[in-house]
Amino acid sequence: MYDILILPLACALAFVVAHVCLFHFLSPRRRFRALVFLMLGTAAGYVILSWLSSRAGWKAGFDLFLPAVYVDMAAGLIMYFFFCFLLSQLWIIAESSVSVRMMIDIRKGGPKGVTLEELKASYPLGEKLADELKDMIFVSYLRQEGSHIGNTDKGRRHARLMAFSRSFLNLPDNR
Amino acid sequence: MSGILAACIVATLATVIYAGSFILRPAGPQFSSRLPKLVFHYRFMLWVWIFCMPLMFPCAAALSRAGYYYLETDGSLSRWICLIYGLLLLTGYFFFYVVVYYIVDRSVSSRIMRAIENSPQKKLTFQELKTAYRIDKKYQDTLQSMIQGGFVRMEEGRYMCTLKGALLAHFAGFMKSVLKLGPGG
Repeated sequence: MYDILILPLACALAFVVAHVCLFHFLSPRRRFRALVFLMLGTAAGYVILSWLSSRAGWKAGFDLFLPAVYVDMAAGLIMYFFFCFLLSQLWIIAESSVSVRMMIDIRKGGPKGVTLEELKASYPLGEKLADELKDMIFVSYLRQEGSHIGNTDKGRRHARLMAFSRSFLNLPDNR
Repeated sequence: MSGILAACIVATLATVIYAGSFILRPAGPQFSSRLPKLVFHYRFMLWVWIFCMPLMFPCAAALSRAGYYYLETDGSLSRWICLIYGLLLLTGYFFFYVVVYYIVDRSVSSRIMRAIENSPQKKLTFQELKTAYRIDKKYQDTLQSMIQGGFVRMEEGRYMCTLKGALLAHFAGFMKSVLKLGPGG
């Protein structure tokens, strides 16, 4: 129970705290690389803690709470829903990712490739923006006010939360 | 071990049922915009997943009977299996967090809402939003990050896929064709 259900969750929480602190206080330039290093460090930390706790005999007490068969099944169920989440994210990437759509259009250009102008013609981002606005009005984040578009209260709260999160994590404002 | 193996088997079955139901249709369902499509697919995916979930229990029991449980003689899970389980779950938590982080960092919807919120009148026209979204720069930025990631290369003003990019494009194209998603993007 300790190694499977408690320690990974504790390590994941520690990872989130470390990530927020790292981005807030040190603001790394290569953010993706920092994230990957932090993940690898946390995984190494998990292995070391698991080994230490096994030597110190801490986990025996936890293992009395839940028989191994239930722990096995609980881990299986968590993994099952992670697989569902993974599929849903693959769906999002295939359906809405700008990079993936561009890559598909570039591949269609064959070995001679495509120019930026050809890419702009085959994938107009203005249409994507228009679709995005239509969806956001549909879910009441935005409202149409004549020729203008404004935030609803829900949209305003969301925008403020995102602006706060981005400034706290020192994310650049150009995305 | 039987729990994770059962999760893999039943998740594969659920994926086959989900994707199979689109393969068997002559044409994909039609939607007025992207969001109803997303809601339809997600709802359907979740129902298939929940419907298949009870199969995990007989599957795990059958795997246990076949010897795929790796319990120690005292009934506890073996140490290596525990470590693999723990690392798999940790990877799942990482993945979940990275998705949340990228929503904060890259979400187009959030960017639109922030642009409106930062405007003096708290409202913008479509043309002003297009300027705020910086479409031309978005093409350049995306292509630049694809070049940096080794998915695309540029030669004499033309962009071409690398092997890695072509494989990813093939996989995404295959997924789109199986689920009849249309061009998307």
